[in-house]
Amino acid sequence: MKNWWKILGVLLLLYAFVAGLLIPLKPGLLGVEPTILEAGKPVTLNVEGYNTFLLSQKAGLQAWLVRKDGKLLKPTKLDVTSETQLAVSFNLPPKESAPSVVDTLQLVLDNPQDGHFTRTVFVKQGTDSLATAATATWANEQVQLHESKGLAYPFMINNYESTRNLFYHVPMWFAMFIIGIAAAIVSGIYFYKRDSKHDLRAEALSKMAMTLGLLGLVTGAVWARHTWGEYWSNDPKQVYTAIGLLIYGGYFVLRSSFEDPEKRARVSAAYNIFAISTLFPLLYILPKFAAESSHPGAGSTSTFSTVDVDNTMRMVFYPAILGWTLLALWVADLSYRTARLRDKLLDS
Amino acid sequence: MLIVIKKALATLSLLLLPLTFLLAQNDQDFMRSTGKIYVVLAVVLTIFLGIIIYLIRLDRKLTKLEDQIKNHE
Repeated sequence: MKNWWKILGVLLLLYAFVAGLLIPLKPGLLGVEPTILEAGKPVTLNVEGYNTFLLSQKAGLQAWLVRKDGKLLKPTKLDVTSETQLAVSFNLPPKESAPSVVDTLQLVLDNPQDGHFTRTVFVKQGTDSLATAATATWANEQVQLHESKGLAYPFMINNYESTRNLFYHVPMWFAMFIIGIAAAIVSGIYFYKRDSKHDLRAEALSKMAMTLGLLGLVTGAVWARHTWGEYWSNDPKQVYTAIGLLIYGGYFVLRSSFEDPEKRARVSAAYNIFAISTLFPLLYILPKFAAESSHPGAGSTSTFSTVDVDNTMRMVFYPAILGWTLLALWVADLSYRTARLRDKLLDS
Repeated sequence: MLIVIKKALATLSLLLLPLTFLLAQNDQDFMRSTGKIYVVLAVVLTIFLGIIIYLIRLDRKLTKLEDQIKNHE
């Protein structure tokens, strides 16, 4: 039947919602306290996990402090209070480096179910070192680290559960680009065919692209508020996107300035092609040159694809792009058909 | 244009809703929060299916009108 693509779009989006919201995050560490330790003293680190099974996996739980040269320090006590909380105690040996230097150590935790996690802690010179006989020493040992099992999304510090937005915020931008390019192509077809229906379709597609762009900007701002701290942080990509959408919005202002439909169609078709070709460098290329950006894939921030090592996210991400695009095309199609009917009724 | 505005508003509320739920909960309570994610999903699906039903009805109305015009010509 001729509406198969509409049904496909709806099904893909249903999949994106269900898989996107229900698949859990990988286990990870929410925090370690304290992070600044004093050399030559015993210390107890309070660790909080997320989606971890610390209590059930107590038998296989291991913890170490690992130095830069790979040597480890075993704990004196490992106290698991719940599935997500534990306290691990170490006797830190005196520092071997100069007193002013702050050493960095990795706290490594591992159990067969959750896999392993690492957190950085800092060691400064102790004020008065305890000359305890029970001071542990750095040992050269091989350890067996595990990987977490099961279908799960990467645990990303600061993003946590909002990582799921990857399936909603980002695919909308992809859909916007696809629809915007379609609008430009149809505008080009108008130049060639000079049939007003192509102009109407270009307008419908452009309206959809603009809507998607505005939605993307707003959803991005909401996501930013809870990960970067503010709705608008003048992040390069945010600013370039706003500029790009203003340029794209000019298409509609331009259209409304013409009385004659033929002139309107011709001039706005040309502008449409120009507008979409500014969006690509603004949204995609220029942010990559920015020195600092919180946006993944811009500045020095790595993309989600670097953490999605087992492709769990890609499995939902790509279908979501297709789903959003098909849904947007459906709405644009309805918009076009309405405009066409109105046009026909006015003519008759 | 009205269609597009309505869709935009509906989609916006759809997209913001699950986000507000996620922000309200604390990172600590995973075990309890698993239960609540189903509520979020149910709400999201309800709104989404509501929009889809609206689109289907609109689509059918337009098809009917188009057929009427085609038959009159």
